[in-house]
Amino acid sequence: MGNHIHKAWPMENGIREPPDLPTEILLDIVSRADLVTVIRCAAASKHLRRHITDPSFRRRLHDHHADGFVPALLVGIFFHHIDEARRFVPLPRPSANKLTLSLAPSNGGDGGYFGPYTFRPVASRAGLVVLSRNRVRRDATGTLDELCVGSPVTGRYAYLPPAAVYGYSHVLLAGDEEDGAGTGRSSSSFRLLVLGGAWPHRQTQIFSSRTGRWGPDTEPFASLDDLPNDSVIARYSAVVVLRGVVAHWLCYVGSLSSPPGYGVLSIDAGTGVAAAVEIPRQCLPWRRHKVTEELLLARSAEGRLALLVAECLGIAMWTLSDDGGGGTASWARRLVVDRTGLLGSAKLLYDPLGCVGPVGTQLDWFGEASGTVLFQVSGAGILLLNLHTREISQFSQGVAINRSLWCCPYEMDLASVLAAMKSF
Amino acid sequence: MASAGSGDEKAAAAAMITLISSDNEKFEVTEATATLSQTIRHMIEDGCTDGGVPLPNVTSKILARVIEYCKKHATAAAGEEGSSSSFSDAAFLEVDRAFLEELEEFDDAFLEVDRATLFDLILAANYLDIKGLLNLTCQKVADSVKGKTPEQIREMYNIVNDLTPEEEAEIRRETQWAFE
Repeated sequence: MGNHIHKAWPMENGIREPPDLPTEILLDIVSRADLVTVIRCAAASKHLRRHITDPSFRRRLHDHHADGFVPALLVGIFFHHIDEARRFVPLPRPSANKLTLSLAPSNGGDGGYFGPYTFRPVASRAGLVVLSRNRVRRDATGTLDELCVGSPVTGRYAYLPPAAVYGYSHVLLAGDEEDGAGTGRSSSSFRLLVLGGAWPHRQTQIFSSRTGRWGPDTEPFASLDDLPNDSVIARYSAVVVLRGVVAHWLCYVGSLSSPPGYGVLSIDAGTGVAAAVEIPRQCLPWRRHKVTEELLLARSAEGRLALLVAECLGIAMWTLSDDGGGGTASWARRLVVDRTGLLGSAKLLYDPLGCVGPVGTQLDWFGEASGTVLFQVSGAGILLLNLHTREISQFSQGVAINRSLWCCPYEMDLASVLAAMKSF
Repeated sequence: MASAGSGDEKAAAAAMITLISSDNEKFEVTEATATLSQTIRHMIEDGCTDGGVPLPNVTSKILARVIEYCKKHATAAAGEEGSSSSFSDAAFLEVDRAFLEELEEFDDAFLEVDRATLFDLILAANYLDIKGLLNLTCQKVADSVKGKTPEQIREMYNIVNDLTPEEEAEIRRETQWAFE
């Protein structure tokens, strides 16, 4: 690299031909780009393609997009509304990426009818999406949760046999073919954990794509230490998975307890162990008791459990320093973005004084691969915040917060996208 | 930063380094400016900078620009060291903030060059091992590639297309969504 020979000859009109860049530098530049651009660079030449599909390039990508978050992995967002067609919006906007995705399974789909019995995306991970719809049982004894998992890129979905547990929350996990972070793992293998059960009891059941069956349903459990039995799952669709196997839900401990508050329920899909973590009062905005929309579980760049809190002065992140074992857990706070930064990056429809504020922000979801948070601000609309770059972009404008916004992030898994690319 | 003592200035003035471009032009810079380059820092440490540092890979036009960058950022580095030792008074923070904004504006203006110059700057930053400059210039190129087609990417980097039409078609089929 050091002995590069300069060949920048002056040309007519003062325009020169740019010099060639060494492969090392070229790869460094490519690794800073978004996923679509990376794929296009890999289509420029055999030489470049060979380097980009090489495992060492994935490490480079992670270096640049750093800290375990690769913002480019968020390729778009699924929206689903009861009185509106399901749609997919590719990112970033405006986008060169014209990805159109199908949420209607091509095999035995549900046609053009949109209603309560339409498939809607309930979870996604690494390019796979879980669709769920309610179905009236044939014997009319109630409804069942019909599930299919597949790739919206190909439009092919696999229908799952009915589960014993009627799930109200779905979590996609990596397949169980291999232990550890094996690279031989097929990208389409998965496990699906459903959390359900009749209140106050909870039950889980796990489907494995390897066996094509549901595992045994777990013994129902109600209360746990730190999580009394009047707790309810506060956010069904905002589940954070740590270490690939431990799913976390935000719980509201309300009606019967005094004082009411919040906690985290965790279930280890590997061992089946359920545990709870208390969220101290100090983490919560102090004025009101029920602040569910202003809280969102996330993970820190280091892979720790985190709680995002929409405060008057911005969005803060509380990170749990010790979330496993018998150690004393403690939460540490840092401000991710302040009010000025937040409002400065959005077109506002009315006076900034009316925006943000205690009830002016709703945190909707967190994309684990990209580190992106989708949230709404009254007077601004839907905004996206990346926890790594701390960049905020305005996704859409809106006057009021849509409290029934149903959307689901669609994130690719870099390793599987690149690993699936053929080298010539 | 504004209150940099005259003692510091004297010390800096004492240590001047001469850089010699490929077309034999000589540039006098302070050691603080020159040592933003790890390559030159190592040469200084090894005591082999007497009589000037020949840089056969860098033209005078590019070297002048690189020095311009280093001067600005060497002041910034000195400012950072200074402020960490002083008490963090609101007025000081305000000055820092203003300075950082100025630095950002400088960087933006610095990058307003044609592609050939930008690539030359990348090669120089790589050869001289100036992390900040390499990062800045590579990011600028990365931002400008966004949304380009494979053909435009080839043209930009001067890459010869050695893929057969069949292979190209196969690549497009594989990740169709990224090419539409």
